[in-house]
Amino acid sequence: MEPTWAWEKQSRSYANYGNANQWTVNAGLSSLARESAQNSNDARLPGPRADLVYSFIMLSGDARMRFEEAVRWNTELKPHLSAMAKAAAGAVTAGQLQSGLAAIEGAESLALLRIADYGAKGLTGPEFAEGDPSVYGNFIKLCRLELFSGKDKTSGGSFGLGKAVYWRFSRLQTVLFNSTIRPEDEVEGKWRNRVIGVNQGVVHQLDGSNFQGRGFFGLAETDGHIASVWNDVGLVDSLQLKREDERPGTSALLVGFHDPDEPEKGLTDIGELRSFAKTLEAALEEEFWPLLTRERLRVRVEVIDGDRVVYERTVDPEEQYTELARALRKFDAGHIDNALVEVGDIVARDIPIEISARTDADEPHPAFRHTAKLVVTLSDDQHDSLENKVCLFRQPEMIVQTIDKEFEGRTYHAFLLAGAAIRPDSPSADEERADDFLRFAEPPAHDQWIPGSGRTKTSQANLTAHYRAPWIPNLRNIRQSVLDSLSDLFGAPTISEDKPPKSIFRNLGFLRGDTGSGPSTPPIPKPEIRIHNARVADGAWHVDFEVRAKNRPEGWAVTPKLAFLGLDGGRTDVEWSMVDADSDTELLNGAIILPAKARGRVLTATVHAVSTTELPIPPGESAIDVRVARADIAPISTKHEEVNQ
Amino acid sequence: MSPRFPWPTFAEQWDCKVSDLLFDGHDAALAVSPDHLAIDGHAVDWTEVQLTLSASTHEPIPEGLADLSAYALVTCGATQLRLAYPMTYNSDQTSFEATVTIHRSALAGKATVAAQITSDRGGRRRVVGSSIAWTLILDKREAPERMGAAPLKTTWVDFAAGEAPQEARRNPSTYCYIDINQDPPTLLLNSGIDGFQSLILADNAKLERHRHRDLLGAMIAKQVANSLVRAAVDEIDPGEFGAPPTGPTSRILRDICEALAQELPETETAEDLYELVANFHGNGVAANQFWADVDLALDRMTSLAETVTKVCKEVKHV
Repeated sequence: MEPTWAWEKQSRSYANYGNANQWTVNAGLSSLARESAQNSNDARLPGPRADLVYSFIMLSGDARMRFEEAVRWNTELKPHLSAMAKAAAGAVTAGQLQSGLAAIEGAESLALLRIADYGAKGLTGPEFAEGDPSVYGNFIKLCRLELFSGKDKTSGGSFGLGKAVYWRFSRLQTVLFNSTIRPEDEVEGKWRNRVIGVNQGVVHQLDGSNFQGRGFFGLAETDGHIASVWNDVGLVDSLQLKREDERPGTSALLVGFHDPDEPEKGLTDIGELRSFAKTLEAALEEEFWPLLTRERLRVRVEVIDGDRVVYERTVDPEEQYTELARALRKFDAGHIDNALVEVGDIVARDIPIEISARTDADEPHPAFRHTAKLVVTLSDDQHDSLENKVCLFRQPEMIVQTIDKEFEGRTYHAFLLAGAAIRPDSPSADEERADDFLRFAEPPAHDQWIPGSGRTKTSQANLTAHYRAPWIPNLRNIRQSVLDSLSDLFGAPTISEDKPPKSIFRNLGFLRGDTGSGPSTPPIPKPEIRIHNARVADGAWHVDFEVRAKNRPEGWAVTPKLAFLGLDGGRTDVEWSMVDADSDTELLNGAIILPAKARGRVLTATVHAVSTTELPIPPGESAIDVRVARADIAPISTKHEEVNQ
Repeated sequence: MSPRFPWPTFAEQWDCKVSDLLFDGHDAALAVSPDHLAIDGHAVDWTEVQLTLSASTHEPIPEGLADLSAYALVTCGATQLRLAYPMTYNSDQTSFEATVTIHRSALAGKATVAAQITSDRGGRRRVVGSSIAWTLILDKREAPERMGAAPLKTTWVDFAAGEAPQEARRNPSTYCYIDINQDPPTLLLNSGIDGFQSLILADNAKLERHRHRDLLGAMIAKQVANSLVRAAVDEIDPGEFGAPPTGPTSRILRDICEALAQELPETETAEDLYELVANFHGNGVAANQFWADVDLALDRMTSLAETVTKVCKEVKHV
């Protein structure tokens, strides 16, 4: 029997124009990385390391034709999608389909993204959601149900929304799956290559019949419902869903892959797919560096042009987030330092988190205090996007959010291990409970524990169902405790009596032993006197000198004094009998007035002065100097006149 | 200072070198610091120092001068010593030299050694030039400070704690206190004020922290300078029997006096300041005017005025 697409007849009493869940997932490859890697991580089996492979595939020509034939493009899928696109005016999803169809039809190539995990549970369980929900396997949860998580303790998701990311990044809202499960999980004796396709379109009318939005690709049962195709190797190959090895896990193929933020890219240019691959790598490193560092999941990204691999790289966070990767390894090895002295040292601090009492009937527990671990290390010279941030994570080892805090003069990397992330191999019961509390505190995007306020406030509806309020103060205190610990580490620099505070001593530079850069504006030097000529005549000293002063708004009033100098360095002031200055210099009570000038750096006046003849010793026996006896501001009237000129 | 004489003189100072330094007959060449023009005489005990002083110049002999001679003059302010040692022309007639021997008991603090050049003028021996002066340092506190050394010690202490000085414990909420009686004077900063230490030590503070830090730093600097000025003024001796006033003996207090004298309108040197202070003893109006001038000058010197202006401008629209 050949696989086929089928959409159920539309109900008379209910219609759905698209799956709202996918709009809870942000666009951008960072979002794709977070949600898809979290899905695979949650499905990861205990034991040897698991692998996750992202394959960007570009199909052209015959390769594209073979794929389209296998997926029944022309005969089944495209007609239904075209019918759905007719509702574009009234439904967002239909609009997406309309533009997606146009883009794919207009392009020579078809882009696919295959996300395949190995060493994971795979799509287990029965085909249809019938009977007791507790026996539903991953197959039903992924393909048949919405908003059902049913995940274990300490898993990444809790809303059942993460899977929506696959359809969000398909232009055609169409995703094909192939899964291999463990032999012990066999379904009616089958366990290899379980293939199904799911289209999450909108209600539509085709050939006079009305259909539901959700369509499935697989084998039609006698009642018309579509079930999985098992172990059809040819089909798997044609659909680009071939798995690399026998390990259990799931391959998801996003048909007509695009980044909703950049829908114009990835249509024909293989270089753009390579660019997508690199962006995805960077996002995986940033969001999952703890998981990758602990090597519980190995992630590879590749770009395939037809059947040729043109780019391939294993994601390694140590290249970009070296300090964080090394610090986590040191923490896990128990190599904690006492202080942060040099790059590579790590310190750990306890961060208390109050866990609210759980009220679930089957898993109740009283309130208790959980001790999370804050690990801090100094940054090297290579800048990255996670410096001066504290990465918060729990058991899934995905960064939920960061607490950003800068300290002057210190660059650091830090992370907070909470819940089962502290000892992931053997968490205590309380650590698992703390992990669950934090899991339920996360909004659907799993990007927050600490509630914001105002416009950034998110609902903790999930906590409401499981825990006794209040919990908001408990969660907000995480941030405060982290900041307090960081302040203890970086807030007060090391105190050294050998290094007096610059902020004080830079202002005492006039004392000897200047320690700082000094005040930004040096003091204005006092006026100086330059003697041009000094002689003795008629029993008196006749001195010609110049008064020079820095031009300043206040101007100067300079009083020169004649001083007789003694051999011991002492001096005796002597009165002038006459002081005369240039014609444009004013004299006021013995002071030379130097008004401010609008321009120029220096104010000058040339003075001729004669001493009195009543001298302490004969002038022919004395050494003299002319000193500035007083340097004051110029009288205000003079200054104003001069400046206003 | 550019003294003028009624007879011809050399316009420039003569160069002067010290060599053959001996403390009690032992070679002490390493104690000579040409960079600082200083002789380190405090590092070892000695009773007699001997040194050779030589003075020379490239300046031509001024017209009207002949028959030059010279003497080495040793002066010490603390012991009021002035000792002259005849210098002789060396063999090639290019410099004057003298060997000077001084007893330690004749000196205190520091002494200066320089050459004085003389010539006959009108039948009288006149000083017609002088050399740069060397300083013989006998007290470590007189030694040149190494670059970057703080002028006073800083200690962080919780003013409410038992080990804090009594004055600090009396005012546990104050942020700083200057203990002038310590040698060197000590600036105590209150580590008990939450956030004060991290703010003052934040060399890379930004925005509001930057402004608060600068303002507090300038305020504390002014308080330090004020305390030093008060202590210096207390030590000024007006002098007796016509002797000039003398200033404080400790170096940091002399330094603050010299710096302040540069800023006050009526003083140029520390000696001017000592004289000003000596003259206002008993004159309340003059004293008040002096202290008002000091307050304003210290505002300027410690950048407090400038910092207030800057901060006010920056926060005008905050």
